[in-house]
Amino acid sequence: MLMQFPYSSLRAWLRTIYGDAPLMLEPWYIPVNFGDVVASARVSKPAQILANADFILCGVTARCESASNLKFKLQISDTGSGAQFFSAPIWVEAIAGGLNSRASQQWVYPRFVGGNSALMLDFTAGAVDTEGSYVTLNGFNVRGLN
Amino acid sequence: MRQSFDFLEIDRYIAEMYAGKRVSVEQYAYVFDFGSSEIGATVVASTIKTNSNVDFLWISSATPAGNGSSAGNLLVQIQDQGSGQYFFADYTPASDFASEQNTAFTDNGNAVPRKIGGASTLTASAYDPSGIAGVANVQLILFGVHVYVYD
Repeated sequence: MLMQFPYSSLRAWLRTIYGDAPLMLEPWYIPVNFGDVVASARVSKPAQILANADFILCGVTARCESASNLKFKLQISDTGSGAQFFSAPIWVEAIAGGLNSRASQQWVYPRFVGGNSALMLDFTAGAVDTEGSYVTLNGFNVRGLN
Repeated sequence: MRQSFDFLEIDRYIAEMYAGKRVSVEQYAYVFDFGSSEIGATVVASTIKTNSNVDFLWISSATPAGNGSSAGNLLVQIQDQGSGQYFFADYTPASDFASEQNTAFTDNGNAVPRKIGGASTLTASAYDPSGIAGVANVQLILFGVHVYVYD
């Protein structure tokens, strides 16, 4: 994943959340495997955040076995709060790169996801079958250091 | 699409706009869905209503299409139904303010965020000036952040 947000900006932003507490940051990828999905079908898969770390979501990447069938819509929601990340499912090409291409990071602002949160990813295939479909949440974990 | 400015500049804008208030900022996107029909010379419209308890700062846009065609040539206008205010001086090519699908690193974000108040009703209208219907399942996505204000 091409880093979208400058590291110095992320550190300054984290200070608004965590103050001056010493933090340990580590890159983290949460892949969600949707497998093969027939045209127009909808599949939901969970993505669990680690219990001992907050997760800062910086962007999303997606792939299918064939870039030509990267035609599906995505919605992400927090099952705990019910909050959805978009007002409606969006064509994933608007926010994620496809097979063999650099990720197109459409995230305009990092998203804080608290530790132990349960996210749900809703995948709605378009007019063609999708094969070997993955959506990966890209970002980093934040842990406090005592 | 890479946004046109560092995300901390969004915080700076918020600090100026909401000076003295406690706020919480969260990523969000609003979606205009133009449906499954091909868009041709006839204007098609989509209306959304923003969440009532929060302002939305519009940062950037995308116009993906589900049938593989490019929506970049569509002419688009957005209107706030409450104030009657238009977002553009006239219908504007989508490619001039939004990313086409799957085009990475196009600096097509807004020059500055646009504040859209809570419970706003927005209508996006689009048509193909060539009159040749070809692009379908088009979405116009407004990417930005919600700003929750706490007194």
